[in-house]
Amino acid sequence: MTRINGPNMSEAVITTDKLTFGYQPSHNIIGPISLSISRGKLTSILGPSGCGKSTLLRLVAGLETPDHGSLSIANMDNGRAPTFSFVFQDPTLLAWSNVQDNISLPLKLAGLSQDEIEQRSAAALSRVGLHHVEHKMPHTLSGGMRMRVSLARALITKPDIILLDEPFAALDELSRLRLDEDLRQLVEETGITALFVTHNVSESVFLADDILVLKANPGRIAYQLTIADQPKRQRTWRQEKVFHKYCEELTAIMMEEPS
Amino acid sequence: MKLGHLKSKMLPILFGIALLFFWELVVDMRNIPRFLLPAPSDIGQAAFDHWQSLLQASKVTLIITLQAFFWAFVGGLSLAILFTRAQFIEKLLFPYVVILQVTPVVAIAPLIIIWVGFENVNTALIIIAWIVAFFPILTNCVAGLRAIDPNLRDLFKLYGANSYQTLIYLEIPSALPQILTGAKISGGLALIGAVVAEFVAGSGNSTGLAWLIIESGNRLDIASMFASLVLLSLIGISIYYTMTAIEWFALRHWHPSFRTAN
Repeated sequence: MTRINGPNMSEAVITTDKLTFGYQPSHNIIGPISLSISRGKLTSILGPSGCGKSTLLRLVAGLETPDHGSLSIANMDNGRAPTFSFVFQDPTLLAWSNVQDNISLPLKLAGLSQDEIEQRSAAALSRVGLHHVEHKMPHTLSGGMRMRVSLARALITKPDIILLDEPFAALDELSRLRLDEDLRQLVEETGITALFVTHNVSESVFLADDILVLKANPGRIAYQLTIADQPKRQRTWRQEKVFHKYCEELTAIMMEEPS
Repeated sequence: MKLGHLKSKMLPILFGIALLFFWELVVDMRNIPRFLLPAPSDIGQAAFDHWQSLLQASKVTLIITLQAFFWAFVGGLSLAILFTRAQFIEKLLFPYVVILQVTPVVAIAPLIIIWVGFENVNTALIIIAWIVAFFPILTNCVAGLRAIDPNLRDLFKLYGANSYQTLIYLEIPSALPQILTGAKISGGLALIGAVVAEFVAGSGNSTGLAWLIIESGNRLDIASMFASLVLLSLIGISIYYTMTAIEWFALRHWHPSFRTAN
């Protein structure tokens, strides 16, 4: 079991080699999985419930430790280790704090000065279109707004890598489509590396540059797909013929009986 | 039948006043001996006559209650934090906490008074009341600290929060509703504990309201006994509503139980 921070050897920022993990010693949830995640791209991990995709994300975040195999994180161009943010399936907000205090939590934990916290949280709020609700409490917001707050909190530290665990799965369709578009735009503008876990095929095809299809028992990569079409994604991408072709292709893979 | 908000609040007060009149009337008309049941007017007279000793005794009981409550709160919360941080301490100590809780405090009280010494009887009284008040704080705090969203714990871990930051920004605020529930229960129990302790300590040693009750009973001065009882109730009610006000103030902005329905 290793977790290596090393020099930047290639365009891959996260690499795993024969990675395995299980909550019980005899039963692997993950693996072995070997994969590499490209820098500045949005990679989607697509799979049914219980295939270990969330566990894989927790391993990358360092919330779990691999049993066997290696997980290496490449350094950034200037030689420092990349910084991570994590977006959970639930907004995971502090119910007793208003929007601004929720968003600035990571800065407060990092010990930044009050001035700096206020400056950066104002910027983060307007980035996700929340400047008008900064003093509201989370329970007064809609589900989509709460998820925006969660996203703003993840972005405020200007992370190099953002890990998202089915963040929009519980939202209504319209909010989900809007947030997908905003997230894609964000990745294109900032060059952040994103790892996005979902069970939704069309969401995956809309968002991702690379798609890894995971199958269960134990979680392993069944299929890989790179979507080079439309590097600048527009809303119209969803109407393209090739978009639907990808969706059908991936659905067929996911429906295959395990051999 | 639908009553206005104010009317429904006034109802129990009006009922109480009616009851007092009825009581006064019955005692007067049937000539009930005052040493069995004094009329409300007798109780009022007794309270007026002995106001200095009643006030002094209330002060003694209140101070014992508040000190016991304070140490129960500090001790219960600290031990709960320790329990959730280090499981082995909980495994080590919890059975003894339960033994202390289930043993009737009246049975240990004489021992405590002997150990602490009759010359420090106030300290003994505080310890006895503390034992009574301690347990609900501890169990409620532990329950609150255990119920923290594991995702939030992960979030704090991911952002490298230290132990102190996790306590101040996550654990205390998240567990606050349960902590305050425990405090509310303990506040009332601290008063009960103080009264029990005074009873056990007996006359001559303690000078609080409970001692006044025993002493009035010995003299068959039932009116003074009632006056002391009324003061005990008033102290209990004040503690309860003070805790309720603190709870409202601390939780009104976010907790589901204080959200107004619209």
